[in-house]
Amino acid sequence: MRFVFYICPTHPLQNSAGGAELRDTSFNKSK
Amino acid sequence: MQSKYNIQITRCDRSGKDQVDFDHLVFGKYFSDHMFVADFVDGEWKDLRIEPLANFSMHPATMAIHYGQSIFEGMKASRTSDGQVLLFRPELHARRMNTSARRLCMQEIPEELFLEGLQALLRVDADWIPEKEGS
Repeated sequence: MRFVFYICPTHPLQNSAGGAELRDTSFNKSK
Repeated sequence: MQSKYNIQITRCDRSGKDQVDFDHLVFGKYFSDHMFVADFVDGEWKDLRIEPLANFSMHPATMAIHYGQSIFEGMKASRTSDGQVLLFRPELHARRMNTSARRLCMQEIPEELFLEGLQALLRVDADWIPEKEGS
């Protein structure tokens, strides 16, 4: 069994998340 | 924080980033230079690695081909105006992935492995995260 991550750069989907989630404090820094 | 996992990193010789028009990105068309891979062998996740993005070679009897035993999660990494890379509740994606794994009788992925692999790949390919406002 294999587990893979890949990255597909794209602009935001239009737009299910919206600004409300972007103001949420649950973001985790990835670095 | 000390990593629990040893992730080997093999970088590509040359980035393909200059071939991408970041002003006209198309969903599913472009991919960053590297991928994170882990294999479940002999009862454990082994050979954690980041390597140049490439096609896989699969055995003809691979379960994913015959029975569709395959699961998928997607999430967005966003860059702030001061350059930080943020993920939105990645741990919930890890838990949902494992919910899917249980339903399809697949091996679960430890949440720490999921998060460390994700963050390691983002560090290697951070330059691929679009910087334009609204990205």
